[in-house]
Amino acid sequence: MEQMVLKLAEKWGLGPIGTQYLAILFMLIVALVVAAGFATIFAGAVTWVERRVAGRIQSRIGPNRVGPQGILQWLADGLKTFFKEDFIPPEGDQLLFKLSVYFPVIGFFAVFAVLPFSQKLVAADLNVGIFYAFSVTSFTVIGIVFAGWASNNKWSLLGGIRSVAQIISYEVPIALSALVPIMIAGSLSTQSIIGAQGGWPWQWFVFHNPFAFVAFFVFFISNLAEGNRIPFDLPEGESELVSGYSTEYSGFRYLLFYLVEWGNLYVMAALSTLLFFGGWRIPGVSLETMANSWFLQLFGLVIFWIKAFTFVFIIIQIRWTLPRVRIDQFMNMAWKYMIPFAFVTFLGTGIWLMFPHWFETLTQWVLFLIGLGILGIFFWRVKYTLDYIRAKVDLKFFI
Amino acid sequence: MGVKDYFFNVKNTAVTIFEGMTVTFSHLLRRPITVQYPDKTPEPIENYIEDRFRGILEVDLQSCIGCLLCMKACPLNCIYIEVDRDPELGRVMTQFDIDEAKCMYCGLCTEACPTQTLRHTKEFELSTDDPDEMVLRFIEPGEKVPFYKPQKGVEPPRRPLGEILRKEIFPQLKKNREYRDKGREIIRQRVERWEDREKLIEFAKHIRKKAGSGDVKALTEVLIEIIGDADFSHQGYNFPKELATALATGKERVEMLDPMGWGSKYLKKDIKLALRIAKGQSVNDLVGFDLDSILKEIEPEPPKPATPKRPAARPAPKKPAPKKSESAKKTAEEKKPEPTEEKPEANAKKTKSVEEKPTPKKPEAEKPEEETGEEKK
Repeated sequence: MEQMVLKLAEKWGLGPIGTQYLAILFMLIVALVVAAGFATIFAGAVTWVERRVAGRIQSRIGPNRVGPQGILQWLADGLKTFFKEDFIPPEGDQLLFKLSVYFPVIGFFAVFAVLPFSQKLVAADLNVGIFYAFSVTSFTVIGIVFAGWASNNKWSLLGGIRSVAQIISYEVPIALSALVPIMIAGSLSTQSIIGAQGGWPWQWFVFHNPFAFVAFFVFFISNLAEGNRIPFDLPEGESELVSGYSTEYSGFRYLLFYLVEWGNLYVMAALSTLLFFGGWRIPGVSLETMANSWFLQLFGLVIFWIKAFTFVFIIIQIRWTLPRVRIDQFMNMAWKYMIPFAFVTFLGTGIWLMFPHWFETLTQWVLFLIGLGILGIFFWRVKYTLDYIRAKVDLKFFI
Repeated sequence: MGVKDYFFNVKNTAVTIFEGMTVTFSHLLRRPITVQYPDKTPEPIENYIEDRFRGILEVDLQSCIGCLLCMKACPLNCIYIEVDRDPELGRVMTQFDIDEAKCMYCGLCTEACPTQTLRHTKEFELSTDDPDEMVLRFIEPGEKVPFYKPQKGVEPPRRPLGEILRKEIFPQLKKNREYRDKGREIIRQRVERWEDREKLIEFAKHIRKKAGSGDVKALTEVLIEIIGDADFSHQGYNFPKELATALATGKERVEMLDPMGWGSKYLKKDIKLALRIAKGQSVNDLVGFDLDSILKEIEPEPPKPATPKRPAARPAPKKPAPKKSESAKKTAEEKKPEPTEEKPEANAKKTKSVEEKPTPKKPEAEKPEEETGEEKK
């Protein structure tokens, strides 16, 4: 993008200040496209996807009235929420109440600066990309604590407190497990980490060594907790805390909280994809050939999205599979299981990197086959379940 | 917690989550059990409904013997049947209304029906924005349906269940708006006439002409006309006819009436006016001007010869039969000396039949054919 700005500035004969303004304009356009054109629409549309999948999992249909197959349901919901009364609790902290919404939103949109869509399709390839991403996503917790406090409501406050406990606890395993691919790639930049992986599945970092394999699960589970997704949605906990920190919110502020929550689905999925699953790498295409072709760039985008949306789907499926964990189980899990495991994977990978190259290749293949085996067992169990209840397979999703 | 337990926990968590995911994933591949009822149903909706479903009531009039048992059995008085006599057809039904808005689908009427011609169908889709539209009129106004004469060993003719509703009744429900509008028109006229002297005089003349002779039947007719659609169900009068009869025979006093709704205060005035004119009392204090002198000029119609000549084999079992017949008898004796030659006989028969009727009621439900056969004799 820098080159593009420079080229245009040369062409139009702009001075150094003009070039800067042009760069700022470019950034704004990119931010607008990413924020309005992708993140918001994704956050909205994925609610429809989730409700349809949830319906299917529960043997019902889900929203199918607004638009064809209910695909405009999210617009209707958003519009409805938008026109609700904007209520601010008079006893609460007015300023903080209004302010708290912006922190999650800032955090959410700021991550998109380093999230790549393809080799060239990235807003900023920072050399501290992953570090930046984790720092920025932590903004969410500030907003949630503010919201819980400013609402002057015990449920909200409990939700806020839980959120702090949750995010502080799970920041540690996230960072430690993310260190594994960073160590293997030797870089914090998102693009370099993807570049260090190959296009073929066995070249992905998740199959790099057994420790990385475990690290992925630690990372994924901790990410769920960080994003307040079930089974870790304790800050909201409908059955216990009404709606947690967002109890007192209504109208557009509420909408923004939920925009962040659903948008975070993509952030989680994209981070998992780029750290462990090869990002936008196309099998059998080197980085140089990819850099010279627009078509391959778009193909990379498609590959990235396929992987990311698979993760989104898995996160949704987890939500409709598992019940919410209790707060003590939850803290146990963080401090007694996740953090030790993350440390072990971190150390183990460090040791593994000292082994010769042929050994790495061997373990990659073995782990890839193990991964395939797990996938095979999964589908075999699915088939077993279907046969056990003599259910017919029906793949018509739009009925 | 030992090391063994620690790793067992990890393994257990992983395996159970894995299993849970397979189960939920298998649900993704199955068809939802939801039936999208009004839009798409895999089969016609009747197939989903049990045979014993108690849906909207339907009566097949070609096998209705006009026993009025359903009307008496209904706890909510949602069935209204009008029975009349026709010189050619004999005894006929002129009205058979079922108010589905009132109906609570208890099924008592279908149990009472000796020929099982009144049945619950599988129809249930009768939603409307106006409860007046839910009155099913099985006989058009002006139409006359003769009673079915049951024969031994012959099954009464039947049409398929629900066909009459679907083909004849439901398409005509919109017509009920006309009846409702008629009722509103009556109220509008009532309000108007108490504001406009000319109209009031005309109205009073009309009453005098029709009911001035003091005939109870004529007075009842006039009162029915006046009451129109007004609702007195809260006072125990479910049909205008009941109230009119009670008023005409002096069983109900006008002062006790508690009409509701728009123009209801004029309703009481109307009734008072009619009653006073019928009894030949002064109405000047009611209307506020000298109406009596105007009315005196008008000759009231002589009362019609009440009963037809041919002797009634089985008198029409009208609703509050015992009370009404007694009262009718009384008034007839008091006020009309002329047609008493036949009437007392008829009334005596009426009371007889009323006395007899309750006894064979119980076996009725079990052996409808025999019972109807007896009735024929």
